[in-house]
Amino acid sequence: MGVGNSGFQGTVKVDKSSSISTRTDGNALGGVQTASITPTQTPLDITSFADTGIDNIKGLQDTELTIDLVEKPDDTAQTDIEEVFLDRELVYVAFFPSSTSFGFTSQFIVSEISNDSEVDSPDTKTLTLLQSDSSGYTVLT
Amino acid sequence: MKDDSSSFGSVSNAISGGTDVQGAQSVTFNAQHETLDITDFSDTGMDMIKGLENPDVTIDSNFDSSNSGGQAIIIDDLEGSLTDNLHVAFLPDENGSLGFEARMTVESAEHTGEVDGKAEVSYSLVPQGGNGFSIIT
Repeated sequence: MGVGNSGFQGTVKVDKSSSISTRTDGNALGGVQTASITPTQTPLDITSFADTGIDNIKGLQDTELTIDLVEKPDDTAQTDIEEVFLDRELVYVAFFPSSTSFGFTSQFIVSEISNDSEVDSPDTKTLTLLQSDSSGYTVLT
Repeated sequence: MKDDSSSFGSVSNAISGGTDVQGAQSVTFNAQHETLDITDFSDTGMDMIKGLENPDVTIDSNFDSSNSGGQAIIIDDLEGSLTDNLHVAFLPDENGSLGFEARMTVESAEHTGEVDGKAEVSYSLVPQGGNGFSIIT
């Protein structure tokens, strides 16, 4: 099994203009310390009188992406994220959980940038991105 | 874990016809009924009856980057590319012969990675098909 045992080897890729379809697309987001993506299919309850148990079907696809990172002012992808946030634009983001080509991608709005500064620590940010793509998310393999 | 309506799979010990979820560290198969309160004025105590079966499954796992096995089947269902039904069997006993089975669909797959940790994933599954769960003996 390909579980990384020497630290998190995943990647978050960002592209302002083009969709991300492979691991080599986009700019790698620097300074990432924790990343979490939750692709969801909201279940729709279609249980009817004939059933003896709950019956769900797949609903709309939704994705939320949360990233904790150390601020790096010269990082292109971090700058892009801030620009699309300020300009209220959309950004393509792909999350690859490990060093392989498997991952998830979609188009997002940057919902929130939470900045944290302390006297004895590097500046950090928490990014919250919400899916803005009527086609849902794409699984990359 | 199995993408075939005629069989079922495993999330723990090996079982014929299924595919193990590699890397699973914690599995919860909640085999539960809804409960309906039929207590009325003539009763001196609560009176409940069983309602619809409503199992739910949570699998916390190391991320399997091999893109095969049980996790790949789950991702196919999440993506919508699974052509057959997804069945989950949970077999907690050491022989892999006793447990629970249900037809399910994936609600979410939370992938998390930390700079000083490993890639992990938590799958949440909800029932599909309206048949509840079965007990494997």
